[in-house]
Order: sequence, then C-alpha cells, then structure tokens
Amino acid sequence: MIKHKIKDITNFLTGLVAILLAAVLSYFIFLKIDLTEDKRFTLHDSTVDLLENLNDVVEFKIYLDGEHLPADLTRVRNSILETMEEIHDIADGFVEYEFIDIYHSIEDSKTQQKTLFKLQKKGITILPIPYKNDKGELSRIYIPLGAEAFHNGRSIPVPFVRGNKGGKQLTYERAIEELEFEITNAVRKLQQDTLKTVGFLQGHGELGQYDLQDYSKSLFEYYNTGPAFLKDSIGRERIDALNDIDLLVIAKPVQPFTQKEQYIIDQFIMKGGKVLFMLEGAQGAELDSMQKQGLIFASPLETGLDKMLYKYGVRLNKHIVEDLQCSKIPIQTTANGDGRGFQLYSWMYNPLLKSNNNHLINKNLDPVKVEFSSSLDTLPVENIAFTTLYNTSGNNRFKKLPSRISFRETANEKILPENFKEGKKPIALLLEGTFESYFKNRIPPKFSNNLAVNFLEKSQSNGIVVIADGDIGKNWFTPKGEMIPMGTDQYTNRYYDNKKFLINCANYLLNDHELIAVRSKKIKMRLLDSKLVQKNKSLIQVINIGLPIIVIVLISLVFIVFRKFRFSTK
Amino acid sequence: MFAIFKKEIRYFFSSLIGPIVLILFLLINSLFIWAYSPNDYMNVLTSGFATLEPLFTLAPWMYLILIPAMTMRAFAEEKANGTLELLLSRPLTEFQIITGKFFAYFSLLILTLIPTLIYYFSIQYLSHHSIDNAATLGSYIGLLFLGSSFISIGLFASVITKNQIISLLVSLLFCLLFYFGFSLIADVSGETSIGFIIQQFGIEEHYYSISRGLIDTRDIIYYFCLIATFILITKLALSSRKW
Repeated sequence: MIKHKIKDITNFLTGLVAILLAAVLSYFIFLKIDLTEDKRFTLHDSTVDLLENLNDVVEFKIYLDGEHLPADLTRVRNSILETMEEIHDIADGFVEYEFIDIYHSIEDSKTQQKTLFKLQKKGITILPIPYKNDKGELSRIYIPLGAEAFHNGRSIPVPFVRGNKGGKQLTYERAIEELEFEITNAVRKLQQDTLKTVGFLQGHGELGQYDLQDYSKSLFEYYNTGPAFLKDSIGRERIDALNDIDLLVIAKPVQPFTQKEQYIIDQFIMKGGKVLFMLEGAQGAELDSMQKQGLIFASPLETGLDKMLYKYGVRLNKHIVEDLQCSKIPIQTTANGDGRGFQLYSWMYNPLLKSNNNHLINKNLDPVKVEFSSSLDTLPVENIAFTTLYNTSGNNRFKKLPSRISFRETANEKILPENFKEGKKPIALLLEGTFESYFKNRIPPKFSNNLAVNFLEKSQSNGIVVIADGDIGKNWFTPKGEMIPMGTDQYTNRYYDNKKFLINCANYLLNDHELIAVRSKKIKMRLLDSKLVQKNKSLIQVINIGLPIIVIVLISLVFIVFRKFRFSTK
Repeated sequence: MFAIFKKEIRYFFSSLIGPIVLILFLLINSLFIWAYSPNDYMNVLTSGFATLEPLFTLAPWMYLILIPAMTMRAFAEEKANGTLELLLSRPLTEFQIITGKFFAYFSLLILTLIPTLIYYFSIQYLSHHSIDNAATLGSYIGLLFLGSSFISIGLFASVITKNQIISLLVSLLFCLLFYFGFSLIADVSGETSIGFIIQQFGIEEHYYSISRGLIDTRDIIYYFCLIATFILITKLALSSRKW
C-alpha cells in the first residue's frame, strides 16, 4: 500500500515539474501566428524598426476611455489597447501609455471643460456621447478621439480620426486601421529635430494655397510646407530661391517660365532637389467653365517646363485623354424636357486610372481621378530609370489640340469601342537616376566654367515625379466654403486615392519610405450588407434560432433509434 | 479507452437531460446573438459587423455552467453507484479511464459548436463572404481550448466527491476562479508586476488573443499545462483510493 502511495505521489510530482518546466520555457521560446487575413496583429517591419531603435521614453496619454463608452467605441478602445500593448513590448518599455478618463481623473468640471477645449484646439475630435446617469436622466459626456504624445517636455496631439468621411462605423474602422500609422508618426515627429521643407511653387498661375489646402495640410504632418517664389518682390529672379527647399511641387502652372527661372529649377534638380511636376498639356480645358458656357476651346499650353522635361526624358503630349474608364458627371438632357433633366453620363475626360501596383508609391492604392489630362511619353535617355505609376486604361483615344469640346457633342456621340484603341500611355511617371542639365552646352563656357556660379552639368542620383494632369492635387470647396478633399467625386460621393498617391510621392521622393509602407497596410472593412440584412432579417433569425435546435434533436433521435434497434435485435 | 468513450457518449443521450441542456445552450446563444441582446454590440444584425465575435464573448460564460453540469457525474455518480470499482477492475489503466472520459466530453463540446456553423454561414451570406475566416477558425480553436480546460477541471471536481451537487459547485467555483478570478485578483492587488503574474494564471487572459485570431504558443502551452495539471490531480485522486 505505502509503496503505491509513494509511487503515485512521485509520478504526480514528476508530472507537475514537467508541466512547470514547459510553462516556464514557453515564456522564453514563443511564437505568434497571426491568422487574420489582414494581418491585424502584425506591426509593419518599419514600425518594428523604429520602435526597437528608440532610446528615449515616449509617453502616450490616450483619452479614449471611460465607463460610458458605447459598444462601438469600446471596440476601438480595445484594439487601441491591443496595439499599445504590443508596441510597448517591442519598444522594450520605451513607449509608455496610459488610458485617461477625463471625467474620472479630473474632479472639477471646469477643468474638465478646459482640458477638452484644449484638446479640441489641437485638432482632436471631441465626440458627444449621450448616456443615462444614475438618476435615469439623459446626460452627455464628451470623449476625445485621440491621444497626446510626450517626449522631452514636448508634446504633440495624436488624432485617431481625421475628417468625417462616411458613416460612424466607417470612421471607427479607419481609426483602428490608421492607429499604427498615427503612433509611429508621432514618435517619428517627436524624435525629429530638423524637418524637411516642401515648397509649392507660385508665380505662374499655379494652384494656390486654397486649391492645394488639402495636400499641403496633409504634408504638414511630416514636413514644413509653404509657398516658394522664384522671383523677389520687384520681379527679379533669385538664384538662391530654392536653397531651403527639399521638395518642390509645381502644380498646374499656366504662364511661361523665363530662362532664368528654368535655370533655377534645373540647377535645383542637379543639386539633388526633388520635384513633383503636375502639368497640363492643354489650357482652357476646365470643367467649371464648361458648365457655365456649355463648351470650351482647348489649346496647347507651352510653359517652357516641357522642354526641360524633354531633356530629362519625358515628353508631355499636347492632347487630351479620352478614356472609357472614367467617372460620371451629370449632364442636362434637354431632349425629354421633364424639368429634372439631369442624368449621370460617363464623362471620358475624367479618366479613372488604376494603380499599376508596381512600386512602393502606388502599392495597394485605389484608382485616382484626373481631369482633362494629357499623357506622357518616355524618351531613351541614358542613366534614367522610368517607372510608370499610372497609365490610361488602353481603351482610350487622344483629342488633338486645339479643339472644341462641348457637352452636346459628348453626350450625343455614340461610343464605339473600336474608336478607343489608341493604346496605353503613361500619365504619372517616376524618373530616377542621374539627370543631365537642360542647360548643358546651352550657356556660354565663360559662365558655366565660372567656379563662383557653380554650374552643375549632371545631378547625383536623384528622382522626380511627372504627372500629366494639374488637377490631380486640387481640392474643391462647397458653396458654404467647406473643403472637399481632393479625389472626391462630388456627384457620386466616391473617394479616389489621389491624396494617398500624392502624399506617397512626396514621402518617396524625400526618402521617407517607411511612412508609405505603414500607410499602405490596409485592413479590410468587414461589414454586413445592410440591404440584405433588412430584407432577410426574420428569415435569418428563424434559421439561426431554429436550425441549431433541430440539428441537436436529430442527433439525439439518431442515438435513440440506434439504441432501440440494437437492443431489439439482441 | 474507446469503450469508456462510447459508454459516456451513449449515456449522455440516454436521458432527455443531455440533449435538453445542449438545446438550452444553443437557444440562449442564438437569442442573444440574433434576436435580443442587452447591447447592440452583441447582436450581429444590429451591430452590422461581419464577425462571430459575439459568440466568442458569450460562449465562455455559457460553458462556465454547461460544462460543470455535464461533467459533474463523470466520477461522482460512478462512485455513488459503486460502479467505479467495477470499472477499475477492468484491464484499463486509470489514465485510460480519465482520458476516455475526457475525450467523450470533448466530443460533446465539439457537438455544441457544430450548430453554430449555421451562424457562420449566415454571416457569410449577409456580408458577401467578407468574414475573416482565419480569425474565426482561431476563435473556434480558442473556444475548444477553453472548454477543454473546463472539462479537466470538471473531471477533477467529480473525482473528489460522491455527491454530484458538490461536484457541480466545486467545478463551478474552480472554473470561475480560473476563468476570471485571477484577473480580478490581479486588478485588486494593485502591484502591477505581481498582478501581471497572477493574471497569467487566468484563462481569460489567454483566451482573449486566440479568440481574435492571434495564436500565441504561450497561450496554447498554458492550456495544455492547465489541462495536464488537472488530469494529473484527477489521476492522483483516483489512485489514492488504493492507499
């Protein structure tokens, strides 16, 4: 007996020790498998890199907390918590975080209001949440959808949602999706001492600060932004005009550039400055003037920049793209005259360009929308590599300039696919390599050899992006003066990825590749089709409540019958 | 071992109580997830998300009652009827008896989950196949681990007593303790580093990430260790009758 006891107990203890060992070991050697399709639990490599190389504590105060959070916000809060836990682990404690319920941590209601107001001023959305208090009265609290990041006494706001695109659920899904990006963005910004500068060129009828408000605001997240002028106040070209600028954005100039201005831009590129060209091949082709007058006359546009680009390896074609893959606009159909008369027509002057998905810049992007676009051709130039980021669909043709474009002709034309076979042409090109100066062999040797002038014939390895449409980065305004983000189709309320594409261009040219990589991570929205739900609600309920019970009843019956059968035959 | 397994399953369906308990479990789940629920988030139709998460939040609580109720008679009844000695006199090791019973209950656990595939297909249909399959699979795996842990606790509670009610109460208590008692203690303890360690003993802590589709070997090993520990204790208790 006693022998049994000793044996059993020793067996038990050995088993226990083995289990304990396995448990302890598992904490040192472990593996995580992310089963989710969208790799929701996997931080991007660049994020991990950034976090692992932190050597100073960055602290986050997250204000999305409290006992009255509604369910959908709780979901957002929980996934934020998940991500923060992981970030904390990876950063080896160099990222600290804290959830703060303003109503709990601050007693005084005046201070509460002040804190909320401060956060709102910093750009964090404050959401009013109705709830029933202890007495059963309807009350309201305000939840900030954001956080603050602290580092070395500096602090910056970390908004979780930007703008109110689409419905509530969509906004929350986006918040979860973009969290990693917002966090790394904040960390990066806090660690950066000198910011790069993006200049928006002015002085040649380019898109101004209002037209480019969306773009410049988005770039302001990472860079200093501001206008850039090639001439001083009395109209003389300044040779050092672009010295402080890292990326020059030239958006839709319509007036010609002087030789000296061309020289400044050329030498800017030779010295390693990046340029994003958004150029029109035609002038006078504007949808709004067309809507006022019914027709427009488009003629070729010569700014002088095209000649420079020709030298670098790109020809800006002087025609207008008509593409069957296009967005729709309302056109008045006077024929039936029933008063309403507006119908959505495919408007082939607004091509929708699908991403070639062949480069970091355009990876995983939705289509972009262009208007009265021209096209590009590449030329055989040494030492330049071309990447076509966007091109026409292939079912397109090109309208020669000058020409007249009217609504009536467009609406009345019978679309025959065989007329749209002029083949694909690039609309957005990335050029990388060593650029040869447009002014090489074009200026007197006396000048170019002068050391004080410091003329460069060739650039070091550099990059520029050329887009054959000036409106791609333009944002519009509602009659009330609210900004409509670029890439919005006002008539169908769809969003195209113009903004992400242009931000990616800037990030790529300025060597901030990891910013793009994080942004391109996409979490699929998994929502029920509300129409289907409404249509089939009762049926689905009946099936889901009834069928499981029937399954169990059937299984039990099988057992009972089986047993009866067995016993009766025995 | 297989004989034990078959016997247990057959016994479960021999009375009406077994199937009725199963039906109740499914009915409550279905009603919460599809018809009535205290908040919008739990109800798939009103929340509008193509996810089975409500099931994976609700089911652990249902198992907390269902599994102790199923396992309470595993050994207690055999002891009370005196059939345990009969069983042990067969050419079977104690370990085989325990695992036989364990797998019998494990199959019943799977049986409770099979009808919930109907939920899955409904959501598939309503969302045009946009449900995250891999994450859902992970959640089912997590639920199976959680249920298995409860089964091993139930077997232990059943082997230490003749009385089924005591067995039920003991396993309920232990399941509660392991499910969320530890995180509760951790919360109260205040000390964060100790709290963290205490929390690691809790099932909830390890269920959380699996149920969202993140498989962490630490969580898996935790479940295996928990199950193995209770089976070891059960075996020790079973052999102690010879002392």
